[in-house]
Amino acid sequence: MPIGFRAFALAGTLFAATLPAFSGTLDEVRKRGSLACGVSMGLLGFSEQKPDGSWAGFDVDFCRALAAVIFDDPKKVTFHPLSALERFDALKAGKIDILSRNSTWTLEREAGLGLLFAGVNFYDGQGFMIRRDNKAVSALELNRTRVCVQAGTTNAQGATEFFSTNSITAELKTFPDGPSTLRGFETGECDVMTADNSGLFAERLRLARASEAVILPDIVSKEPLGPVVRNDDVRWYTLVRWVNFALINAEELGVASSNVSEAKRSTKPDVRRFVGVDGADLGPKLGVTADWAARAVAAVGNYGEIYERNVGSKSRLGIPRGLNQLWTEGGILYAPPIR
Amino acid sequence: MVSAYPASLIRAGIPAILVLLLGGCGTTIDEAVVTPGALTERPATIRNEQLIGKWGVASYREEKDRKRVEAQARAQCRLPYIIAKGPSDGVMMHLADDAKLYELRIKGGSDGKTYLGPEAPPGEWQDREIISISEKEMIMRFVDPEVHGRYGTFIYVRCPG
Amino acid sequence: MTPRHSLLSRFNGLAVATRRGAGFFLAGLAVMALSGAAFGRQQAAPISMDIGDEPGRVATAEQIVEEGPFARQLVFFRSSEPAGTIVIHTNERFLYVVQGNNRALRYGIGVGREGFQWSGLVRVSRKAEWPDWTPPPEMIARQPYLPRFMAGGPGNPMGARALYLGSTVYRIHGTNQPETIGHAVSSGCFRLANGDVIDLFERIAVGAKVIIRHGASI
Repeated sequence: MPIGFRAFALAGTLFAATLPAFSGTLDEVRKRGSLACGVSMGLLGFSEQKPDGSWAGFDVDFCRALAAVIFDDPKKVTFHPLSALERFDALKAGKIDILSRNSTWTLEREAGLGLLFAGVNFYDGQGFMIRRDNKAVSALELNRTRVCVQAGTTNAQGATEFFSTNSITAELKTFPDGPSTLRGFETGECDVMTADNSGLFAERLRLARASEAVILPDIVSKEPLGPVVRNDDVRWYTLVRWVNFALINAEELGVASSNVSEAKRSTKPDVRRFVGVDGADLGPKLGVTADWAARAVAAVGNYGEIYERNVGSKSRLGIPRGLNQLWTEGGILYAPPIR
Repeated sequence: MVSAYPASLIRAGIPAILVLLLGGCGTTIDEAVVTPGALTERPATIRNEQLIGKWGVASYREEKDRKRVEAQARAQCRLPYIIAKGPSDGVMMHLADDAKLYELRIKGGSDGKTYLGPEAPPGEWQDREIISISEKEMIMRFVDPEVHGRYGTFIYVRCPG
Repeated sequence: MTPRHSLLSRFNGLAVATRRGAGFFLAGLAVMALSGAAFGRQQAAPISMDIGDEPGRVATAEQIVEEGPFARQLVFFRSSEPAGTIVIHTNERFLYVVQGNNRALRYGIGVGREGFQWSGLVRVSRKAEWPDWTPPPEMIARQPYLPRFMAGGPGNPMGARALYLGSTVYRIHGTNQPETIGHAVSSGCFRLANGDVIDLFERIAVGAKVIIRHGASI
């Protein structure tokens, strides 16, 4: 064991003494031989169980990346499908090590429930879908429209606020569930349907004529989604946080599943540190090997690959990168440097 | 997998199939298409020697472009198309979309036209029709309306030397 | 396999709609060539489709990518470039026309094959309708049956419109092979479905900035 690692582990133990009892998630995961990952019970593009029992999706790939970092094997994950109601309890009770289930980061969930969001890996938010023959190019042009929204969601409140802030007169029509909301839009009962952006892309696929519907580029609310851990193990939290940063940094550096082994021969300092050829002490500081980040990319690809494969241009959903593009390419994804 | 795309494909598809039945209206075919096998062979009036040599090649679709394209064909002698004599009684040339050379034969058709193509009755779908030929220039088109629609009419201008 | 069949086998299930007009002929062949199973290939679209420009199928001016991720759409796009600037992300296979106010109109494109990819800043130096086509000599070497010059028109690989980029040999152009949108196929040019390049042509003035980016390289 490298000295740096031992020193860090010792510091971790001392620090943990001031925190609630539990603090050895990484050791426990290693001992168990697999990562326990909470996912949704089935959400197109984010977590889906295939007929052979295997899991796929954007949220699933995050757990696979983490397993690859720990075990150098993305298959060492046990997926636990969880309902919206049970997800946080399952995490708090220690049934899962990480919740990777399209959950919005809010103050209440951190300070109230005793959880920590390890970062944002998908910026979602409320959007609007219109018919193609409606020539609106902005949500500000939705004056005098009828808007379908699902009752009891934050979207109903969000739409009301957005319209009143922007002096838009729109008639809100609420429906009890997702399918009836979509039917309201499809039958022309409404001109507009509003929901979270990722949801709109999924719903659009259910329309008989998907190409007749257009999703506006406006995002009018904040729904930052990301992986969640318990707040009693800062070492584990830090590891999960940096796995997310590593995937984003990989895309920015041009490190992809197709070239990650070549990257070890790169002459660029940032790339060399990323794959652990230089700065070999960085991984051990997180409690993992020097090539930790390279393992993640080799297993699931960089952020862009994960996005496009599951929810982007290589998937049925086809959600434009939008906010989830790198900060250098038109979006707001910005990860601190690995050094 | 259920496709996300059926609507538009079907929409494009229905009229498309109708047009298929009409026989390639999509292209600028202005003359009746020869039905393969409908012609019998007659002695050709064009000889292999008239085709052999180096040619500048260009193609056009609309008559208005013809003069311009003729000049372009002449300019293409930098990268000439070379027609050589074949081992038996034909000339070595390409078919459409195929990088291999074949020995093609000049065939007179019972419709009074002259065809150029592989060993088969005149007017067969891989054939070209030789529309006109002189010492300096020849004009050909593919018999297959689909191929003709893509390539247009070829002008060959004999390169100097 | 006859040449005709080899052409058909190259359709890959991209949703391309032909509105009306003469191009139904070949769109129809595409429909007939697609079995239900062929749709599945969309999911695992190859990164590059190694096919050359061919005086391929006749695509009409009206042909656009109508559905799926490569359909023209307004998207969120942060940029400090003025409205009317073209930004091309080659690795993503998208062309953005900056609209200001954090949005851009995004088109699916086909880009240069690996090795032909380049980046930089140029300006639109010229625009042309139904441009003529002179296949480059390397292409003649590969496809010796091609005419050395082809007058502009529906079967022409340059498609319906071209925007010439500075004094380079590169351009943004239409294509008679709209199913290649989203792939790396051309020799460094950027191709859009004909209906989409016509739309772009109307929006972009000579002199407009064109920024070409591709992902970082290791």
